[in-house]
Amino acid sequence: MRRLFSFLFLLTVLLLAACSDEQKTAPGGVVSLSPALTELICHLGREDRLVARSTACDWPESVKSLPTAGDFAEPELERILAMKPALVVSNEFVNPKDADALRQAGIAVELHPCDGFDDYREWVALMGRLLECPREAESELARAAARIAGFEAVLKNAGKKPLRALYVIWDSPLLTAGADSLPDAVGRLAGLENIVKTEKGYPSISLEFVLKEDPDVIVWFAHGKDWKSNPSWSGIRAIREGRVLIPRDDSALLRPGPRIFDGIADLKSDLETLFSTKESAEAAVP
Amino acid sequence: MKTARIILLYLFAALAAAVCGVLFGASRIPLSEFVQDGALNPIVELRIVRTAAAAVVGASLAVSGLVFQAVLRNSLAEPFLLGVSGGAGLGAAGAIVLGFSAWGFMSVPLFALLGAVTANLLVFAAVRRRTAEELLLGGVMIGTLASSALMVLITFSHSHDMAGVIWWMLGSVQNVDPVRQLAPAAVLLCAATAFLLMRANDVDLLTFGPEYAWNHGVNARVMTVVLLALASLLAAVTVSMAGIIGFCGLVVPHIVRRLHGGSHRKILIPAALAGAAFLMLADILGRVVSPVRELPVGMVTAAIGCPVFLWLLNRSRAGS
Repeated sequence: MRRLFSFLFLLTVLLLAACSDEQKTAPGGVVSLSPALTELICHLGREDRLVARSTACDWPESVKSLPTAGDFAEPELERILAMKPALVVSNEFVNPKDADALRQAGIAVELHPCDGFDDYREWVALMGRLLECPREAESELARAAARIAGFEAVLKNAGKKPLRALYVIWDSPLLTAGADSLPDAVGRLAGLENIVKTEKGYPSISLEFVLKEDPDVIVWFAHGKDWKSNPSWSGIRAIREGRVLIPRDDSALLRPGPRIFDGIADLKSDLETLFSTKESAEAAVP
Repeated sequence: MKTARIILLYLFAALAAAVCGVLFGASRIPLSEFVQDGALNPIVELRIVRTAAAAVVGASLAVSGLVFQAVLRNSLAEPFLLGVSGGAGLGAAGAIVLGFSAWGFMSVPLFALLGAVTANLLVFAAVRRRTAEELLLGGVMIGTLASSALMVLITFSHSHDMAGVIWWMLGSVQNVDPVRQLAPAAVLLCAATAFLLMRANDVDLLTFGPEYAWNHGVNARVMTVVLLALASLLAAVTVSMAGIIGFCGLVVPHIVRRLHGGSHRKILIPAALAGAAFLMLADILGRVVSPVRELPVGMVTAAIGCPVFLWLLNRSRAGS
């Protein structure tokens, strides 16, 4: 009887430990369904742990050789279950039923927002714990803090009024980045001020609102789309005067990953080039 | 009331809606700022184009709905019955999801028009006897098939593509090219209205059934096909220009017919003007209620059209 009680006690302790929310390390393969997280895992030096990626994960180049396990935040359950990874990471958009199915199969699933710098910091810390690379994570957190502080110091020292910007995510309907979005945060560090202040997320806004706000510059994220063929856009002064900036690599700016700080630096430098070219062209007109 | 007076009344309503369409919007512009440095204020220019687009789309949908309701002898008939909305939706979604929208601004409207006309032709080709009832059933089948294919495309699309498709389907007159879209649609509307006025007597006779029309010298089968094809073409052009805008083609002709009787010579132009006024007002509401985000005009027409339609329905039942 005593033995039976001891056994049951031990079993209860083990079960409670298994159900505990405390995050543990996750030895074994990792499936990433978010491009930003795939980049972070590689940046922390744990690319060897990645066993599969989403179809949207395309950086660094080496991850393209990995098999895919679904689209961005859309796991292909059968494929993942066949791979038997230890951990699946993605943002919070994964269908909860899919996440539960993976958990029931004994796979750890980490789903958290991945939209801004705060989320990035949390992911870095979490990955440091889960992938057993706390030193690399600490170093990345320090780098991120230093880069952000650097951008803020430059802005403060310049003392210039920020340029008013419209971020075009999609042209028709006009989808833009709202007040709490990643492009909004990125743009602020590059010296821009979003003209969309009241709407959050990625709202569809009216062309009349854009005409009324008359932005100084348009940051064009609508990859492969052309504003020139749309007659409705010709009324916007920034379009008429050629103040449209297409980011060199929009994936670096739209993904809260380790490349985002280089993306901001590029955006800042491209803005300076665009406006200095405009100013010199205007000065050359007699 | 005499026909001329009715037309004048509706013309006044449409002109009032057009003036409001230019005066009101997301921002307040004083009259003194309508012209700046000798040029029209770009916001006013935008409002003029979208108000004109709303007028042409609204009038086309109302005329199309009037013809459908007359020929099918069904007051619930609407312009998209012969597969037009499903075909246009599939065409537009195909252009967006498969990346053809990158070819330029006109690619989505052209694909939508192509989809609508193809679906419509399929209905006419698939139905052998081409009576109004069988064309209607054929339209429902092809429309359902196109809608299912559209859902498959949406399922495989990325989030931005999906947003584009959904917004396109909700309808908007914000992005209309005045030269390449609005002008041809206006010409088609005028030509269709003139043709329908000339054949208004035939349309009246068809509302009593094909046999009755045949006995009064109308080739009912040919006339049915011609009228439904013309009404579908009007709907296809509007849908390619402004997406799928519901209720306008259903509610407006229904109300005009109830108010002024069933003579198509008498109600055709009032229905067109009422459709124009209705859509212009719906567009103004969409702009004013939510200035930054702007409500899709198709949502506003449904929000206004549904209660008005139910009120009229209950009022007429109570009266009878």
